[in-house]
Amino acid sequence: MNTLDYNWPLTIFSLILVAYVITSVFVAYHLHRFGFGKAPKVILIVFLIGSGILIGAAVWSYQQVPWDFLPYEDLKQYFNTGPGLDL
Amino acid sequence: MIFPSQKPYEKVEAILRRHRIVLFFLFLYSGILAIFGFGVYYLAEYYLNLSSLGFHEFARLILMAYLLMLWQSFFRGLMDYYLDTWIITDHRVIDIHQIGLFKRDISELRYTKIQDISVKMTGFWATMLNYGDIVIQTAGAVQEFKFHQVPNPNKVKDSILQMHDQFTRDHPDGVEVHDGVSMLISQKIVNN
Repeated sequence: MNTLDYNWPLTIFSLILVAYVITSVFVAYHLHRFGFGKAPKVILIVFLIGSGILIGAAVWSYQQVPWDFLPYEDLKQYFNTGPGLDL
Repeated sequence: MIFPSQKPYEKVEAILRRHRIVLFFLFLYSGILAIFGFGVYYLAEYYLNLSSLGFHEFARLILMAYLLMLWQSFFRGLMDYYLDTWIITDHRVIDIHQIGLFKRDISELRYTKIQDISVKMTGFWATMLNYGDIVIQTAGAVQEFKFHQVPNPNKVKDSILQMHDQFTRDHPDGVEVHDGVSMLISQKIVNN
């Protein structure tokens, strides 16, 4: 498989989302576990709702991108130029 | 108000957090950064004509990722604000300090350990809005207790001193008695 045939955009996008979700879980846990009084609970709810909306918007934006705008064919000449590689 | 680890005989006198100006600056910086992101996106759209280059949707995706990170860092700031707390009760002072996501320091100070209290108000905003740091010198393992950017620091200092006086008056030997068994033991200690 050619290096450029690998779905890098999806991999990078997924990694960013996974990192976001993991960190968000910790933020939510701290607010729920250690926050006392009403304010931290309200903040937690707003944070989770906002995160859901923003993740949805990010996924939608990702789906809208026509990934063929990247000049893959032009870039191929700079990658995998070692002997025996099929370009 | 009830807080975790509160003793049944303990009465909460005050729960302190940093002054709300800290929240205001958090909102301000986050707002500026959000406007900056949208500004760069629309300027690039307008001047570089991203649509014709086929970058329009990609730029929007970058903007979304930026907003996602900004949203989270804003709420981490809020979390930091709300989880940094100082609790003053009639028996002790508790300092809860949240540092990032995985570090949480909780120290408590008995009134018998207090040696000195000072107030520091530094800068224009602190003077105008009446907030500052309270530093309590202690005889315990933690040498210094610091309350950062608390509102009305002089009033808080007075109230801690008042609590201290009352506690030492109510507990002349520094012995706390809260149930029958410990009362008998402490009386025996005092009598001996």
